[in-house]
Amino acid sequence: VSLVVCEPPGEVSGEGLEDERARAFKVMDDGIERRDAVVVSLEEQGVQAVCEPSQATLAHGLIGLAPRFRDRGSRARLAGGRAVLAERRGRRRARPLDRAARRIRRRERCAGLARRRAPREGADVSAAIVTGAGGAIGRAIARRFAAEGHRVLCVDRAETVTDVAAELEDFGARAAPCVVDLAADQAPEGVLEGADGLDGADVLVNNAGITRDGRALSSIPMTSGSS
Amino acid sequence: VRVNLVAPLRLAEAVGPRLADGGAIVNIASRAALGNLGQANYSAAKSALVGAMRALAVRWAPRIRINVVAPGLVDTAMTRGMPPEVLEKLLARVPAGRAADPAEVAEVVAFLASEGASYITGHVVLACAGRSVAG
Repeated sequence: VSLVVCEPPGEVSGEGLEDERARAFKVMDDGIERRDAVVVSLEEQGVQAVCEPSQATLAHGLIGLAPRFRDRGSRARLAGGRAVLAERRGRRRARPLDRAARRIRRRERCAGLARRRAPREGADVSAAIVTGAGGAIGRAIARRFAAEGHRVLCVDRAETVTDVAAELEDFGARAAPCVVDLAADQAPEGVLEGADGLDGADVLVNNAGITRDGRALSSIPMTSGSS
Repeated sequence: VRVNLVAPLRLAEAVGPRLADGGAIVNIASRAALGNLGQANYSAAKSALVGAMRALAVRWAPRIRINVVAPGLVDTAMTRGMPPEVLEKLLARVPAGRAADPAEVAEVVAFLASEGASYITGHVVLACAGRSVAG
């Protein structure tokens, strides 16, 4: 049994590896889906395959959410990749595959398409604090920073932010949840503590915000004072 | 006001001095900072945030850059919770004819936080697909 680790893309180490297997591993960064398929096939050959997602994989996995990959197909592919990952880790399926996802997977297998994005050369791996990371915009921001290789501190008053951090970690990013109500007096201390856990930060994104009742439109009298 | 203005300010005051040199702060305000019907408090808080952050941007320059993103309508739980007829009316005023995907806002934030924006500070980026131009 050999141990195979692939990080960064194309670099393969292990004992008794044949060229063919080494080549097989180079496609790992073409996407979560394909990478997992390769791991499975290696295991079938009696090779114990350990997969460390590289930045390119990470970017690929998360890029399904960037504007240019916002189409239905990309989303479906991303959902498919996530489900495979979750399954392999013995968790419950992240999301059932829908028809579109299956169609895309079939088409990709045939065409051998590989949409990849190289990791940014020489980009400093730094850390970002994102408040309101449990919300739609905050989550998108957290994913975007994670895709660039940033460590991300996901701050929200809702416990669901732990899921957001877990999702980023699933993709190989370093992320931590920080459940803090920013309206509380001790909020800054809580956030700083969380940031220390990530070895400091150099980006702060003040995203958390509300309207009354969480509604975008409501007549709010000025006399209500500090709400 | 407490969450939209005081909280981000206190957080910036606390975190700012601890950020690494060359760090950046990006705030999410709202296009409503320019004024939206029936949102006096919200608009006030968001535009006060803009003012406060511009002042901080001057104070902490050149060590830390501070910018603001002011999105228009974004596809979130908040907008989805709106009555369809209201949403339709709002969309009619957006030249792009659709709400923004949260990822589109994230792209702007990522840019402002990146090295690519090294000469931009104290600025407000309106990400509202022309809503503010159309009036």
